[in-house]
Amino acid sequence: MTAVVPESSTSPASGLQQRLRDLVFSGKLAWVTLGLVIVAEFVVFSIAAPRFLSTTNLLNTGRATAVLMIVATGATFGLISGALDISVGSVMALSGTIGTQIVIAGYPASLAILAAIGSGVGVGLVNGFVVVKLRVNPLVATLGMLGIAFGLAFVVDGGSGVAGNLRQTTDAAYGVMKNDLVGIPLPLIFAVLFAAAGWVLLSQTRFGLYAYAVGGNASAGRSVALPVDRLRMMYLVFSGACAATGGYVLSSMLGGSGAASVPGTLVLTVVTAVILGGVGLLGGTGSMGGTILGVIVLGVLENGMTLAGWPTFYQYVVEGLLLMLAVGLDAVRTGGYR
Amino acid sequence: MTATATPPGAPLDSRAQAAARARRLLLGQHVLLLIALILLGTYFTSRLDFFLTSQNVLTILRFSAVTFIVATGFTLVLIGGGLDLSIGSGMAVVGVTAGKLFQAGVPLVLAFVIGVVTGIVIGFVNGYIVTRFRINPLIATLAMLFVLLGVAFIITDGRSQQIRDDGFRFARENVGGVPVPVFFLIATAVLSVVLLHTTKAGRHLFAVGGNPDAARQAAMNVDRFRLGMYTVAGLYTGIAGVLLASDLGAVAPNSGRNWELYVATAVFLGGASLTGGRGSVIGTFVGVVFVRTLDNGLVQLAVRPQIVLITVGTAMILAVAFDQRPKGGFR
Amino acid sequence: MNDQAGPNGDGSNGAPLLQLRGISRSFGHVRAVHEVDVDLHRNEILGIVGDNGAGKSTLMKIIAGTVSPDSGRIVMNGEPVEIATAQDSRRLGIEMIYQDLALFDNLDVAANVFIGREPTRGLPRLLGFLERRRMHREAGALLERLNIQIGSTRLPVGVLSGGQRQMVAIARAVAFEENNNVLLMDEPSAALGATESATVTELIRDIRRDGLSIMIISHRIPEVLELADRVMVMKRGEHVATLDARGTSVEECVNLIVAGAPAATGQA
Repeated sequence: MTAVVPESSTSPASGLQQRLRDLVFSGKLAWVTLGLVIVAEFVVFSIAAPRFLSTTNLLNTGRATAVLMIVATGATFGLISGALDISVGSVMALSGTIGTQIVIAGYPASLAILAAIGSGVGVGLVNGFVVVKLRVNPLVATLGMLGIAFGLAFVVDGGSGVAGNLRQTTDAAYGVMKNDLVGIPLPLIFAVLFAAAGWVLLSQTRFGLYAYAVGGNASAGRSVALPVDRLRMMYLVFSGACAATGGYVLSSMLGGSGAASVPGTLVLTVVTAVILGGVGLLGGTGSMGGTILGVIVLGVLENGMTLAGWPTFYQYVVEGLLLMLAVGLDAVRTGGYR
Repeated sequence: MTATATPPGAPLDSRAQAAARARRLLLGQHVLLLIALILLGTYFTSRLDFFLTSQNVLTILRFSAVTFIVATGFTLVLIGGGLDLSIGSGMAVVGVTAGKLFQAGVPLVLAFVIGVVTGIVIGFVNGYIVTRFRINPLIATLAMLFVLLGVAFIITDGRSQQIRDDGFRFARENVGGVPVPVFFLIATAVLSVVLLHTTKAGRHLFAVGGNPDAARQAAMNVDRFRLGMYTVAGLYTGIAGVLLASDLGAVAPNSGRNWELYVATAVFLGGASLTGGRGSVIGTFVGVVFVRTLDNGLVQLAVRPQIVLITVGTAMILAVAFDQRPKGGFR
Repeated sequence: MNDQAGPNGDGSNGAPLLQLRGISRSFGHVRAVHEVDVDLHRNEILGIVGDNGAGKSTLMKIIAGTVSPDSGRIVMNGEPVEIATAQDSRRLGIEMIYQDLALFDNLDVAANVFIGREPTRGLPRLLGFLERRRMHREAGALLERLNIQIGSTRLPVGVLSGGQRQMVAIARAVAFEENNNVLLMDEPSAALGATESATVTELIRDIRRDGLSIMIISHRIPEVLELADRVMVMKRGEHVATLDARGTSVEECVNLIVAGAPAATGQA
């Protein structure tokens, strides 16, 4: 019945080839590649825009990239566990809007921040329920949630739906992320700590290990009695909470925000950063180190292109191409889409 | 798996099959959706005097036309086991290409034809990336969404402009009381039904999407099918893009925003599946009309557009959830 | 290692470790398993053979708790037990190795061996810090004890050969031996070449020597006859016969599998 596999099934040539491939595309070497890309960016942009290398500009780049780092941390866990969460942009909008409205209504900033992040947890729970209980593909579930959360943000906002609808607040505690600490932007410090915590969580704890397990082979997870469904739910909640945290930080930096304060292209940037960093589309692979490098690549790119005087929409093209390149490399590693 | 060899069961089996077919027909998704549509229409009619007039029905159909055309392309791609999130941006590029050429003095028809050809090229590029570089279609077309958005902005330098020309705005005309886009809707529907359900290539497309490995073993060239299906979808994007630009009467790089959500909702409501091999032109048509009716009725009831967005998102999740129940869904 | 098994015989003496009585299970109108009785003795290797759809896998899944029987009872160590979930069977010391092995190709050998039972410290439950060094040390020691040749416990399982993967799955199943009684194996050599399959056979013998009782489903009848103490033949969900492995032949088994009774013509 079963075809007998001939002995010594690995011919030496293909084994060697495979090993070379593994080496070329293994996590560590991808990090070196990303490092080289970052170096190249620095060289190109410091030539194209003299102001690029100034301390002020580098700190500005850090400030502008902080939110991306925070959201990408959550997306890394989500995608490693096998769920591409594309509702993160809307969750950010919702979180920032809720926080802003609560401060404007006169409640303390601490409550506003809690509610803002809580909204992300709530969205994550709903996403998780839809994926785990209704068995909807996470992509579709979060695509639906993209519309729902964005609509909700407008509702909370009381907004006319006009783009750029931005509510301001002068609450100093809520707007704490506008400040610097010892000359370094607070959002940057926060994002670095956040990413470091994410790194430890992913590489050193069961929570992290099980993300790889669930994303790598969910049915094996069930066979060895891992609570696969509960875990999947948790990673979506974590992803939502990180997005909401990013939403709050953005809102705080702006001194309050509305439904349309989050650029619609943010999802793309997050996904690009994470996939550039080596997280495979099918789940089970990737690392925080890679994501951090991916975020830096994109953050520097955006800043440098702006300084060099390229209009924003050229960035869409470059980022789209980068994403394709990143996934193309991933496809070479895994055999790709069939 | 298929080891049920009980000889006396043969007539029983066919009876069971007939019952199953009847059940499928009765409870099949687009029938259920049709019932939902009728209920929705009844509700709106009871609330709005104007709702069930021939003029409003034609308005709904008119707004359905562009959505339906692009959704049909989306359906083809889904059936073949692909996905295309770049449709909105693709339509924008098509529209601004045609508009800019027309503004530059290119004859109207030629401008439109070049617009449609642009759509075909976009579809071909999508297909080429997916089949040649083996990039997952979700990401490939998500990346294309942004590349094309950028291109649309670059072509127009980021500005929207009115085009005040009746020829360019042909999609706003009526012929015999029927809006022009409705004729395009009918033509697309007929063409697609013929293409998908009567030709050999159409039937093979279901095999390719449903089980690509089996299709490969049956010596089908899966990649060529997929390249073809993306290219045909590009043709639909081209037609829809031209119609949209004509209807807007403007060059608007932003005009493709959020189409993915509406189109995906309509198509999933209509019974197509994310895992390939399933979907129909009629299902998609009912899905589109459902979404547009919902849109139309809610707007007339003065419900805010954001609520519509929420409703559409919820409808899509529920549609897919309902659709996946019997098959176990995402594991 | 833990010699709680007592007599190291062919399983003929002493009360059976595991008894199944009148086990039935249907899927729709298909009777997957019908009124089956099984005895598994201490320290015995019991082979289960039968054609596709004979009910072998269902029977094993019932013991493993992933499929629940419609009727029948299970007795372990002389006491009736309830096996409703995979956790129940694990608690009773029953481990199952599925045909697909349930390995995580993207995780390293040590993580695969410990999955779900990782040693941690610091914070509780999911937030506990993995003691990776300890995991590698203990996994390495386990592999050494079982004489399993794998370069390093840091290799991802995906790069291992079929035989090595099979052995990692076996190692995982016996890793927490304090409480282990029964090992169920579904087609352990199905996808292996001759040499690898011999190595796995050797490993199965070794772990039996450690005191486990083992049930093996296999298509390869000569292999089963060589490895098992007794062979149970199933056909269309029913228990046809149980034979002493040394007192039977491949032909006899094949005839039973095909005909459901001795002496009939059959083709493989």
